[in-house]
Amino acid sequence: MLASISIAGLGIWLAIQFYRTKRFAPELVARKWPKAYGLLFHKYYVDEIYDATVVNRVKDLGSVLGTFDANVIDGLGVDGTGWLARFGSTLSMWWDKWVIDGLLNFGAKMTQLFSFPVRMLQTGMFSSYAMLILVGLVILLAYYGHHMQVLLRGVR
Amino acid sequence: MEFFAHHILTVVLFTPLAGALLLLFIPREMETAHRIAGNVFGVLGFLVSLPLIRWFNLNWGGFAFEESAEWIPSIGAKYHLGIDGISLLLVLLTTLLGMIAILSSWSAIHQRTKEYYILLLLLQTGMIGVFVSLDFFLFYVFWEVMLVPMYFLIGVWGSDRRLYAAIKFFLYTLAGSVVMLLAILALYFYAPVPAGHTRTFDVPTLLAAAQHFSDPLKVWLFWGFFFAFAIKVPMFPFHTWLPDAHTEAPTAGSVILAGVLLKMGTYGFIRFSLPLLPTDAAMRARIIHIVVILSIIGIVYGALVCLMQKDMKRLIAYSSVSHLGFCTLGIFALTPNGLAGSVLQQVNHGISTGALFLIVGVLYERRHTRMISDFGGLATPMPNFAAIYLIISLSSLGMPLLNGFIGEFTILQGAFQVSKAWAAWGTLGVVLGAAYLLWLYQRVMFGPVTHAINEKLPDLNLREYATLVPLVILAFWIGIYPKPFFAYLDKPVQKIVEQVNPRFYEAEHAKLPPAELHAAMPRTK
Repeated sequence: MLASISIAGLGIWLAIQFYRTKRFAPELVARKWPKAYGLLFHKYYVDEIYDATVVNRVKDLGSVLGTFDANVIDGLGVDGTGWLARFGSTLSMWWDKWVIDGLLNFGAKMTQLFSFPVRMLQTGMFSSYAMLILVGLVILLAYYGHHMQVLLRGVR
Repeated sequence: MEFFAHHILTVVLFTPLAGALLLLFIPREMETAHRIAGNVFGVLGFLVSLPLIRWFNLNWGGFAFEESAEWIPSIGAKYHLGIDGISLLLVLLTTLLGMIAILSSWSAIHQRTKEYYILLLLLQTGMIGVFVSLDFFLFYVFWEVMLVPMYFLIGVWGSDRRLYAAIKFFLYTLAGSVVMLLAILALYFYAPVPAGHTRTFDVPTLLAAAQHFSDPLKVWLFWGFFFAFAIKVPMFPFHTWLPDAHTEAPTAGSVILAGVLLKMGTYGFIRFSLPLLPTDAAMRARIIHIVVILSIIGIVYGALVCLMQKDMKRLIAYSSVSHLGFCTLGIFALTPNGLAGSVLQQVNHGISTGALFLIVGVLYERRHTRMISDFGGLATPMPNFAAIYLIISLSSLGMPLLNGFIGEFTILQGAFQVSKAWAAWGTLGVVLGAAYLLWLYQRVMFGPVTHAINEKLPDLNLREYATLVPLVILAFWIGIYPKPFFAYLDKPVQKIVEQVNPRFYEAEHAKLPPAELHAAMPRTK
C-alpha cells in the first residue's frame, strides 16, 4: 500500500512540477523520451489493443455473418427456393406446351392432314354442290334410261 | 352490461372488426374521419380489454372467460374462446400496441387512409383471435386471417421493396402454416372419439388426448407445429422474412409485426408444442437440444448481424431475432422461471421494440430516410427525443430497473437451472445487445450534427409523446415492480411445467441441496 501511495504521490508531485510551478517544461521531457511519452499519452495503448483484438474483430464477425445471412441463408436458401419454384414452373410450362399440348396438337394436325382430300370436295359453295347434283342426276338418268331400254328389249 | 360480462372475449375480439365495418361506410375523401374512426376504435379496443384485468381470478388454474357455441357441427368446429394468464398478457399487449400503432399513423399515411385503417383494425381482430381461440379450427382461421391485412399493409403502404417483402412474408408464413394444418388434422383424426361423441377441434380435449399418443406420433406432430411457429417467431434459420418485412412495412406495421405477430409463434410453442413433447426422455432431450441450440444461434447470430446493418430499421429487425431467441430458450428450458420469464420477455419485447420502431418512424417522418449515416448528433436539435430513445434503448438491452432486465434475467436463471452453458451463451447475447444498441445510439444521437438538414429537426410533438410515453412508463413499471405481471403467469406456468416436466417439481419437493438438484434435472451436453 505504501508503494502505491508513494507512486501516486510521486505522480502528483511531478504533475505539479510540470504544469503548476513550471519547473520543467513537459515538452522537453516528451522530446527527450518520445517512446515513453507516446506510451503514456496513449494510456499504454489499452484502447487501441482492445479495439484491434476484440471490438473490431467482433465487428468483422458481424460483417461476415451479415454477408452470410444476406447471401447464403436469404440468397441461396430463401431466394434460391423461390428461383427453384420459378424454374420448376418454367419447366412445367414448357412440358405442358410442347409435350402435353403438343400431343394433342399432333393428333389434330394428323386429322387435318388426312382430311385434306375430303376438304377439296367440301367447298361450301352452293353452286358447285348444285352443279354436282346436276351431274349426278344426268348420270343417274342416263343409267336409268339405258337400263330401261335393256329391260324393255327383254320384255319384247 | 350482462352481455358484456358474459361475452367479454367476444367483445374484445370483435370491437376492432366493428370499427372496420363502420369505416366501410365513411366516404373515401373524408381522410380525417377515417383517422378519427380508426383511433376511436383503437382506444375502444384497448378500453374493453381492461376489465379482463379486474375480472381475472389469479387462483383459477383453468381457462377464464370461456365461451362456447356450435359453429360447424358437421366437422365438430366450435366457437370456443378462453384465456389463461399467458394469453391475458398477450391480449392486453395486442390491444395496447394496436391502439398505439393506430395513433402513430395519423400523419404518416396520406393515401388510401380508409383501406389502411380497415386493414389495421382487421389485423387486430385476427391477432386477438389467435390468442383467445380454444378451438383448433378457429385458431387456424384467425392465424390465416391475420396474414391478409398484413400482406396489404406491407405491400401497399411500405417503402421501396415492399412488394418483394410482402410476398416473401406471405409465402413464408403460409408454407409454415400449411404444415401446421396437417398436424392439426392429424391430431383431429388420431384422437379417439368416445362413443356417442363426434370428432372435435377443441384444443384442451385434443391436447389431453395427445398425451396418450405414441411417442413417434407425438414427435411428428411436434415438428409439424414447430415449423409454423418457428417461422413466425422467427427462429434461425427461418428468420429472413423478418428483416425485409419489418424494414419495408410502414411504422405501424413494423410495431405490430415486432410487438405482437412474433409472439403468436412463441405463444404457439407454449400452448401447443410443449404438450406434444414425447414422454421418452431421450427423444425429448434430443428435440429440446435442437430447439435450444437454434435459439442460442438466433441470440448470438442475430446480435452479431445487427452490428453490420446500415439501416436503422433493419438493425432493430435483426435485434428481434436475438431477443426472440431468449424467449424460445426460456420456453424450452421447461422450468417455471424460464417459462414465466419468456412470457414476460415477450411482453417486454413488444414494449421495447415496438417503441424502437416508433422512434425510427419519428425520424423517418422528418427525414424520409432510415440510414444510420444520414443522422448523427440528433441529441442537439431533439433533446426530449434523445431522452426517450435512450430509455428505450436501455430497456431493450436489459438495463436493471427497466423491463428487459427482468425478462432476460428470469430466462437466464431458468436456463441456468438446466444448463450453465445455455445461460452463458445467452449472456453473450446480452453483451452484444448492449454493443449494437449503444453503438447505434451513439452514431445517430451523439457528436456534432453531421448533416445541415438535421440541425432544425423539430422535437417530439404531442401525438408522438402520446405513443411513446405509455411504453416508457410500462418499461419502468415492469422493471421496478414486475410482481403484478408475474402473478398472472404463476398458475398457468405451474400447470405447464407440471405437465411437461414433472421431475422439476419432484426435485423441488424433495428439497435436495443445489448440487443434487442439478443432477436430477434433465441434462443435455
